[in-house]
Amino acid sequence: MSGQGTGPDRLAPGPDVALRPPETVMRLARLGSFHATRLSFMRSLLRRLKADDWRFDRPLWRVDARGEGIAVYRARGPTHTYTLVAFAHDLPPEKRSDRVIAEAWDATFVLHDGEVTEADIARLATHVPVQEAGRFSAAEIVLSRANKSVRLFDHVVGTLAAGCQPDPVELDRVGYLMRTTAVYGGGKFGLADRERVAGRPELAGPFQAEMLAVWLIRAFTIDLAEHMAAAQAPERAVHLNPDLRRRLGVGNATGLGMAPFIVNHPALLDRWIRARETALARVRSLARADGRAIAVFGDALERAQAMAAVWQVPDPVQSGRVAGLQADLVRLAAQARLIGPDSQQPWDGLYRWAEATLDLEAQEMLVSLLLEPYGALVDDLVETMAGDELAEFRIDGAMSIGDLCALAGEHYRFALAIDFANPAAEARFWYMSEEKLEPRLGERHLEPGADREQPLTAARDVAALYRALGGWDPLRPVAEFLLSTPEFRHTVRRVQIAARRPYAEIRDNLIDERLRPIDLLRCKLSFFGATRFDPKSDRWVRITMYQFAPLPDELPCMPADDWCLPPVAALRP
Amino acid sequence: MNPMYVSLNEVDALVRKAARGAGLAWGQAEEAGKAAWWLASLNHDPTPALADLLETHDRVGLATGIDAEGAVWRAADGRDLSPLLAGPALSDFAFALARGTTFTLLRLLQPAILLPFLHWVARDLQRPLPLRAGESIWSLDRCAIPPGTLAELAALAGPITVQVGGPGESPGTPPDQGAAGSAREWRGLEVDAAVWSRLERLAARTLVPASEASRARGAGSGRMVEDD
Repeated sequence: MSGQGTGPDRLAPGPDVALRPPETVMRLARLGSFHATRLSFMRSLLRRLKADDWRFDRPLWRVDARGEGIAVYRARGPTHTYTLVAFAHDLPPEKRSDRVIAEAWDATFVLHDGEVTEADIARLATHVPVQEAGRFSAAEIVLSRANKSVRLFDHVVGTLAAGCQPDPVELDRVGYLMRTTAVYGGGKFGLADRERVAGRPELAGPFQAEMLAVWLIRAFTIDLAEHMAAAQAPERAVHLNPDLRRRLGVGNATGLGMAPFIVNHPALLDRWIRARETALARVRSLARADGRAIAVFGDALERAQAMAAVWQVPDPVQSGRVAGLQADLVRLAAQARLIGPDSQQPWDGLYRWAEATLDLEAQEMLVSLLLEPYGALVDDLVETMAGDELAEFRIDGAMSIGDLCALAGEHYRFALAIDFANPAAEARFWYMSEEKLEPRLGERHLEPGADREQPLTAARDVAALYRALGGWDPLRPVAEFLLSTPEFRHTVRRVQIAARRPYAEIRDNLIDERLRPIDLLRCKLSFFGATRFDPKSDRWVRITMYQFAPLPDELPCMPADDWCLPPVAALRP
Repeated sequence: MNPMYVSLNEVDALVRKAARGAGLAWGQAEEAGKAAWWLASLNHDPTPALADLLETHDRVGLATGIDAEGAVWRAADGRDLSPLLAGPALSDFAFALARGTTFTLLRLLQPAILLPFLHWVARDLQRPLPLRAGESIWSLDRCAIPPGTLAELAALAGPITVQVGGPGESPGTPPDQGAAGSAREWRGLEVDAAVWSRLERLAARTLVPASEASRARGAGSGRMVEDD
């Protein structure tokens, strides 16, 4: 934790502040309060595209007056080109569904590796519109689809066709013209394996191809609305004003399908959390804050207050949290005003005050805000956020049984304290649904199927491992234990990974009756860079991506990373 | 043969689920998936051997434990020994292989499935690892596997006695190049759709059918209402 930053603030380094312990960070209630940060994947993508001078164009627009057809968006970088092929469909309202079982969408997309030919487009036209039922090749990287927010789409098309601009209040109420209902990558349905593209700088970070696809999809949704308006009223229709275009992101409805990922990729989760915690510790370690940093922080805090003021959700739990956040940010602003250029280790002091005073939503918002002035100090951590689970995969069979017990006791204290004889402690079970081929959460004591449970059971499994190890000589190697009890291999691996990577394991019981799966979703989505978390139940959430970000044609002439917390003026009607 | 192209990730995921469906524990199933991924990354199709093996697991319930008498291993139930048990166990005993121990595996099926595990050990130990079956010796280099090794081992279905470890010489020949990593146009791994379906049948046993109870609870998804 010393001296990795190059910013001027490192000239006066303060005492090193330790990373927050996993017992504090890796609780679901806190992970479920995370907000996007500078390290989030949408933000790091746009910074890179800008820094490397990527160019974007739309070489093909073949869409008819009903909004059916094909469009191609091209992103050209220093060494590679990617093209988003968009298929626009005229979807009857009764077929519009966000459920994963849907079979038709308003638009379907694929991110192709390189330039596309007419032959590619013809091939893709038979596969992309049917999504999971199609087969793809290693030349395709991301598959996605989106549905319209019919109300807002019609409003925007109607007003543009009438020669007017839409009402910003209406735009803000929804925040997007279309919401994606799935964004697939990582080799699914024959798409390119991550290993194939991970060596390229622009795709080395996690989910960068997916984030690129979504950003290009956003441009398509706006182009489509303008096209429909022009088709309705060729003489009168106008384009959407640039500041109104940026007000539109891409929506996303995310359900349980996303939840197991961060549990099944423990080494990757550790990398994400460790990067974020390291960034926080670097900032907290600064001995002084200069005037520029204090001003940037103050501005970011004002922006956060403005965002919190318009963050309206119907969900009663989240609504209460947002109200708490609004009140907490007022107190935070008062406390932050005490910081001056002479304050000693000011950010650490502010963080400690917040930890003792504010709720989790505001504490984690402060983590995001503290990073804002310090890109030069923390942005390099983005490079540490990708990783290979295979590198962590082998069990260390030479470890003694006594050492394994000690590690389980140290890193899974929460699990060993749970009484699994209490039915509530294992009330839930995660499973893959035969009907939907998607992860689902069942009630163990009320539904059949627990014999096909997915291994999101680390707490219960480590407790069982700990009991089983008790009968063995602590000096013998783990390899001997596993010869006769290979059913513990999964759990031994997890314990060893957690011992090497302390942020790999969520320190909560994922089958407890009180589990709120959206905490898992929000954690992951915050790393993507999503905003406006809008829980629709305890197991699915709607979010907005890239709202207020520059459009591709604007990136060369606009800041790449000044939108996640937009300028206060951008939020005004 | 009805060819189809699949990604390495699909191979990993399907084999993992099929192994679980065939009765292996989750940790073993994960190892089966990773082993299949590694073989596929060399453009070697592991699905025929694994479909045979997993169907045998399913049919006769190959022991899920290993009986060890010193360095002689056999299946705990006295039947054939699965490489999906022996491979991970040899990996666990890398510390013994490093000391020069030779393990004898009795009645081993599909010895080619050991290769990924032995490759990972050889890479960690930074030395070649010999594997003997009958009169033949293959020396697994730490970098990759020698030419021909995969095809020769894949031709052995077993059961067969195999010895792993002991003093080994570097094969001294250039290793196979992984096709997936090479510059040539990679379309995916070519597999036989019929074999793929056999694995899918086993994998389907990890799925939970809808029940009255789950339907009544909204199938655990909550209701996604398009209200925007």
